[in-house]
Amino acid sequence: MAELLEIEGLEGGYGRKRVLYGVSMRAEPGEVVGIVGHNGAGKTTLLKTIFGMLPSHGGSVMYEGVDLCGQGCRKIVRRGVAFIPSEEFVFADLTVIDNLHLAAPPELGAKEWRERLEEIYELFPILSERNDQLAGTLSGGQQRMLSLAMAMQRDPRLLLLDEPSLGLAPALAERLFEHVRTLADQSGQAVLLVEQNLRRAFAICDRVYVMRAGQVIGESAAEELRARDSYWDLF
Amino acid sequence: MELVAERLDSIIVLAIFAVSFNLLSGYSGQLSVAHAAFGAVGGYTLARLFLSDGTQFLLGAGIGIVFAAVVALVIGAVALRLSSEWLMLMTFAVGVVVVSLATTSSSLGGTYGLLGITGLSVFGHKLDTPEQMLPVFAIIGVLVYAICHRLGESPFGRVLRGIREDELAARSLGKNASAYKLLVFVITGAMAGLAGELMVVQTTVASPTLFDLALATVIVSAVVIGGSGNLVGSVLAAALIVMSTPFLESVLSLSPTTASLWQLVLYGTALIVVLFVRPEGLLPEGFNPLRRTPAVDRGAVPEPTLAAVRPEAPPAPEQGLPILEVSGLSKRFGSIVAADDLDFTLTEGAISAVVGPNGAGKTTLFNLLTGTIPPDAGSVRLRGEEVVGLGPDRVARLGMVRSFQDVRIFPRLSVLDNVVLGVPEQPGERVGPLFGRPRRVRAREREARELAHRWLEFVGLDQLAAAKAHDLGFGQQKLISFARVLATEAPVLLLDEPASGIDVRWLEQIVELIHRARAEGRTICIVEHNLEVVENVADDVAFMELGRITARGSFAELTSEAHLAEAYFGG
Amino acid sequence: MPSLHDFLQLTANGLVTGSGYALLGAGFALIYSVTERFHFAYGLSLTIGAYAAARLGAELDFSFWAAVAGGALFALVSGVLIEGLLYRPMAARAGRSALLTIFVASLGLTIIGENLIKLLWLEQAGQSIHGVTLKAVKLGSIHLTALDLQEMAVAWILIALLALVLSRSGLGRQIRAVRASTQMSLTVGISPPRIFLLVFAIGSAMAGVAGVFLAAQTSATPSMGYEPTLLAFVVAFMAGVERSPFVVGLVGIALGLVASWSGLWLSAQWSTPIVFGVVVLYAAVRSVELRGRFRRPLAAAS
Repeated sequence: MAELLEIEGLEGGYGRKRVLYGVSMRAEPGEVVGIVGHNGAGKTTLLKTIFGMLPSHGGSVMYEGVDLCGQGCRKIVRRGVAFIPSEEFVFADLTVIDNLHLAAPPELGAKEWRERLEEIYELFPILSERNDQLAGTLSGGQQRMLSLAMAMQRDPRLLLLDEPSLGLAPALAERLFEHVRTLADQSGQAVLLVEQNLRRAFAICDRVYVMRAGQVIGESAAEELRARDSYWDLF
Repeated sequence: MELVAERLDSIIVLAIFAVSFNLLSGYSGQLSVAHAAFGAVGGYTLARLFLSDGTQFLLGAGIGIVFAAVVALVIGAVALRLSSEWLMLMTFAVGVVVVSLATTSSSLGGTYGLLGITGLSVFGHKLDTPEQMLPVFAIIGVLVYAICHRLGESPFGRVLRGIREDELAARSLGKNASAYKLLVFVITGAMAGLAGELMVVQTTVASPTLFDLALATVIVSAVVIGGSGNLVGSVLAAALIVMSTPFLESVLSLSPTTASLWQLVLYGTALIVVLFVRPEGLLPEGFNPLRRTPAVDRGAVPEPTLAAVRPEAPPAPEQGLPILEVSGLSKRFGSIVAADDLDFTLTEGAISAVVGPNGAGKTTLFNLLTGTIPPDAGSVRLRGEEVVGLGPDRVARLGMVRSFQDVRIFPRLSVLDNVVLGVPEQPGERVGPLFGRPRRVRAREREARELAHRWLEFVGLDQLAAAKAHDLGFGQQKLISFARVLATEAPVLLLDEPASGIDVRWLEQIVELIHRARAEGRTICIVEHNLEVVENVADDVAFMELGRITARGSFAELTSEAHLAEAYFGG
Repeated sequence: MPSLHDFLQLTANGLVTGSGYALLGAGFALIYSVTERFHFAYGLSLTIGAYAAARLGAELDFSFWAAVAGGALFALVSGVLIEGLLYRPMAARAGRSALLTIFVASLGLTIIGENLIKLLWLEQAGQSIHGVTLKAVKLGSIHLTALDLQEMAVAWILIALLALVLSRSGLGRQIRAVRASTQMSLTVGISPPRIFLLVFAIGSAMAGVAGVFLAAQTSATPSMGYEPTLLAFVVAFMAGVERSPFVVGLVGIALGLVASWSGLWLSAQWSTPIVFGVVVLYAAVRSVELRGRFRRPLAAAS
């Protein structure tokens, strides 16, 4: 099966601060790929570099046969890649419906968008009730749901998800993760999932990469990791 | 001859404006357009006093300077509390108010201004012709330059540039940033008042058009073109700007009217070209043709080696007394609880670590302890003294200094200056001793630099002392910030993620350094995600989640506890 | 003692000038809130609008309303060029010091523009707009001109249009998105640089229209942009740059009234120092408030 995403020797960082030292990884459609590692290992930088928010200094990000390096976020979004950042993931000062509207693909007509919105509301009923509320006034879990709903409107083929459980109560995080797994299974999208909570990540991942100090130091099937009882050595 | 003297007089006046404005904007990083307005305050005061009471130059000028300083004090005290946009807005407003007041008020001569300011003299020396003015102007110009130079190129100026580069970092090293900024605003405002007085003497009138926005723009241009942070550059640019008039008139044989218009077009263009092509100006900051610092070859930067000064193995931690006692500390940001009735102590001479998942509130804890963010409730006692309610500079001076996760180095200062800024008790950072006790200032400066070199040796980077901090890699910057914190001599050090974002090969060094700092007698608390580092340095570990400390013990104890692993890795 | 008639007349005058401030303030607030550029050359766009309208009327015989549209267009183009060719590359290079760099550049630009205009029309610096209707309109005892009413109407129509575009249209939503967060707007596929150009276009066109009316009231002069620009800054910052254009507009009206009412007791020349004096006072009050907020935790602890 053809790879959806194939990253080779990716280098990158912020200005003078170099963070990624030759990262390579891959993902297939329908696969949830976990990326774990200590803080500052370069996980977020990796997602931002794939998404074109940060420049790459070397290597390639092949996605559906095209190198994403050097393309702007705008083009990358149109190619079907979605990114949900970890700390700021909705427009807090705009209403829920505005958030959804902004994330809708522009080529979608008003009627088709309404239909897509209905599907979203079915998945996340709470959002339809809170349509005109400012997104910043939603609870943490609802904001996460909104961010997921925003990304799903485009039917992305690759979803980059940065620490979605940050600040969420455990039960809510569980539900969110179930959603992510279902998405991958049903619509065949690939997910790159950065997550601190290892057990929770391993529970829904197919494969996991371990990063340390800007490099991938290991790759294994999530199954193997699920069987272990201590992960101290991964940090 | 008269023409030459006239040009020189003009150059001196503009140079005084520019040099003092450079101290304000180039060194301390404050952008104001009120310099022309302060000039108007000085100039009009001199003119009014002379016309009504026949007050002579020295007294009139003195009173004018005081007036300008008072106006600057009021504006500065208000504007410095607001954001930098407001400083610009306020100084704009002051410019408009001063000019329009002068235009409106009949006692200030209205649109035409106060005319006939002739017959002034200094100690019997008349100031009626450009030649007569020249020696007096020259003496004043040299004096102002000398003062600005002394303030800018000294420990005082180093503090200003530190504040410009990163105000919070400077405050965290114990510098009272607002006091410095206000002081410079007032001093340079007074100097602008003096320049305005000379302008009135030179033109024999005090008129609104003399001090309008065009003057403010010329002053800004001179500083930007000459080089922000370089006083020689400002003098040079002042000369270039003044001399462009005769150049346009004679070489291009334009009429005086068109020449003056073209001149304005020219320096507007020069301003933009300089910003594009050479943003640092003709003479960049720190550039001195007589004293060239050797360029640092980045490729040849050696790796730090610690072997040279390795001390004996660190002694086992003594059971010291609590040096920092925190109780009931609470902070909410909207619905997020960052600190929840937190109790916490640090034991003298021990290394403690705070670990926990992202978003647990660890960095906020440091911000609360150091007064960077005021807590909602609670008490923080440092060596028995309550520090809640004090700003980070006061807390630092009381003996608790923190480092930052994202280093917050002073990028455009040299590595050495970065560290010297941490050295406490420098008389040269205060105006009084700077002018009153130059010998003591010089002696202490030599000491401070030696100390800084020692701290750089301590972290193994002394060979980079002359390099600019922003030319170094992130790992090296972390070590510099570590040296900077150590240089403060503060007994309590809070290190925020000393190992994050660092190359694996530097980790050992960091661990070693933390041990050595403790061997020096410091009490250390680190926030760190790299558990290898925590395991290797910490005597005791506090586990923090959702704004609370939920467990405390040795690293081994904590990692063996099941609930801890659960919180860290998930259940 | 001022009479009721004087008061009403000055109020009407204040509403007219205040509408001009409102238009300028709303345009600048839009530009600043989205781009954070301290765009002092806003006044240059205003001046360009006024001169374009004057020349179009004089040379091509444009009617008044066509000249207003032409002035707006020229101002719009000037704003887009300034952002695209000057500010954007400068901001990219300046990084942290962008605020200062952009401000200094816009000062330079303003000086260049003003003096080039002076050089272009050496003999005839002040220029009037053609086809202005100064016909007197009497409302009770109040005297206004048709131009006054047109100015108020146009200012508030444009402010309402801006508010409508911002709150109802897709483009407006994108503008609000970039204003709220540049980073987030990247994730939904918006290109912030394009939005920057867009707000420069809209804001500058508004400045151009204000400039044409300002020139129609008296005449276009090379330095006509300074004071209106400062007033626009004041109006925008006092209202809060992210507030609705209507709120910004009301602050403009308030300042216009303050300036006008000061004429009840003082000669008209005092209005400028009084308006800016109000600003200084306002800032002083704000700073005392801020101080109070920083002090509170101390009280809580003791």
